[in-house]
Amino acid sequence: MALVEIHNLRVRFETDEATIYAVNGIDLMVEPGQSIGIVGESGSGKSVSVTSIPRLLPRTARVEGSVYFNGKDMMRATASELQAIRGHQIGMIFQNPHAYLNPTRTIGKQLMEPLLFHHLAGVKRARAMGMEMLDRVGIVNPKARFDNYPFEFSGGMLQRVLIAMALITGPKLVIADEPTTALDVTVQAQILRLLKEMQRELGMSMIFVTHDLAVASQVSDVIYVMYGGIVVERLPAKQLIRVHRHPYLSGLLASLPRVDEPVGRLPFIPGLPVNTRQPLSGCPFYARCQWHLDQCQSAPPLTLVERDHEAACWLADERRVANGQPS
Amino acid sequence: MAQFIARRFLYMILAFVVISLVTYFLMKAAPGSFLAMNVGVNGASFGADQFQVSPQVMQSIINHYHLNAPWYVQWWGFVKGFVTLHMGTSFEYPNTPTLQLIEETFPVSLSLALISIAVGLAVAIPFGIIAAVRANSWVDSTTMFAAMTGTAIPSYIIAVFLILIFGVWTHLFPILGYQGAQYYVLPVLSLAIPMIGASSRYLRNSLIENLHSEYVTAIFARGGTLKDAVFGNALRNSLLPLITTIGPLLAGLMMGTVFIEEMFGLPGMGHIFVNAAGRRDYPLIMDSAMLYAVVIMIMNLLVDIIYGVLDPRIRRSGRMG
Repeated sequence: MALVEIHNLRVRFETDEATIYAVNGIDLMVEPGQSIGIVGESGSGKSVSVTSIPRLLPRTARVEGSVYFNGKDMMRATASELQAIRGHQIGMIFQNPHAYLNPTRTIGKQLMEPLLFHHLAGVKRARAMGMEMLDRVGIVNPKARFDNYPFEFSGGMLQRVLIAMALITGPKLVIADEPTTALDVTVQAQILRLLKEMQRELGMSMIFVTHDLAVASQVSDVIYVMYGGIVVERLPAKQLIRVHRHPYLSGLLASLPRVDEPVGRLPFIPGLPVNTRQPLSGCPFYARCQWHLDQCQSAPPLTLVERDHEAACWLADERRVANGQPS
Repeated sequence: MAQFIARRFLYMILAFVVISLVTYFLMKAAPGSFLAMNVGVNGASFGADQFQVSPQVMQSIINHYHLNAPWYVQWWGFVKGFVTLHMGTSFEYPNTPTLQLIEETFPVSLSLALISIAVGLAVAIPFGIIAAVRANSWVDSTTMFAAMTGTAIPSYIIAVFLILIFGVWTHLFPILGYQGAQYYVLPVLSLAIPMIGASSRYLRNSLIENLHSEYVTAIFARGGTLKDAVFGNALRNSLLPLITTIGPLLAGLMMGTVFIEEMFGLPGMGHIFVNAAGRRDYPLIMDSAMLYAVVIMIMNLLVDIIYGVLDPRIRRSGRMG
């Protein structure tokens, strides 16, 4: 049984001015111990999709579809059932650690919270576990750092604290929502290595959200590429460069700068991201796609093009297109 | 922290000098003098009549108070007298030293203002929390409607209502004079009610903002409940800015006590201050204005120090303001 099963998830935000169609029907599966990466540009609905697993979206969000975690129907779970799962079985790591920590509470007090909220340990035991966890995520001298405040830490150190906080209860799933985006490159590499190590060590599943293809392929087994609130391609991370099918993913890969080639003008995907204020009709990439057909006015389904590899493109069929270009 | 206090103290001295100068010149710019005013009202030489003295003696009084001296001598005389607590007597109360007048009346005004703030906050904080936690529900709108009404009605109108309800109809509390704690109830309520409105709205909005911030989402993500979010985290962060409003609030209340003391016949400093201004009682105007300025500045400094102690970002870094 899969740990996470999402089927036809749709999320929209209703405000007075407009309705935002953030997620337009996605399917997603995470096996125990598996690490999946969700890649997409801003506004593609990747964060919203994963935040709906522990049902942490704001009240304005209208969520439809089914979300199962560890066999539990999250859409029908009561507030106290959700509370029992959050922070205990699902750990979350956020993008900007400065914003996601209470500035007037010590690191240690916040670090102990998951244990105390779920009555997994008393204060004394929680304190010891917290220090041990800080040590494991590479905080030097955890004893002294325990009673420091967030503003006394650097961004990279805080992200380590956030990781410690998410993992302290030994969750079955950790959701990392762009955990390295706010960090500089060297720190980013350290954090990624740490996350990957901890994930293997504790045997957890991980959902890693990022806009960075390289990062996603480093830490995950399977990659979901999102565009316009749908999954346009799902493929094993190892095959990312070799066999991608969707023109959007091809465009993304082509626009990565390479250090081993002469410096020239970077290719980019022309056009603007999808307008999420209208319900999605047809292929979301239609307007920006150079290969688009009349057929693309109706939404292409996510179809299996080879083993473990799906793409949502009318041209994705192996006979007609390879690496996102018609043959 | 010590450096911060020292710097603030220098600012306070500067502000004190400016306030005393402005008060002095405004006072002098106002038409009429203590003597002339009384002449104007009661005919010819009332000033002399009142003191039962001849114009020659009046002249010696003028000399005594240096009323013919250059402005900076006069101003310095007032400031020096105030700072060294040798204020002498005023025109209006020639037989009571001003210092004694202040000692008798000022504690009444100050305690009235401080008790009102304490009562106001004690009521406003739970109101604000309930409204924020039940944001946009009927509880919230009822509380906030009551708060808005309270704020919109000036304290002296509220005082009339309170006198009517508790004094005239139910005889629960005395409405005039000062002979014990129960004489404080209605004046304190009159001052506190408008403040409760403003403060509970402030706390509500600040708490709602905190509850929608990312760190509270993170608390929910860790398995915290709304109670954990409010009492462990968000409330403290919302109370911090509320503390900073206490300084200006006190300034407003000190002025409010002027009416309230008058209405409830409390022997406070408010009516002395107002009368002094009306009668151009120069020494008393200067002394009371400087006293109010000093008290309000000290309160503001205390509030900032308390804020610094409560906010670890300031306490740990040692930098303030």
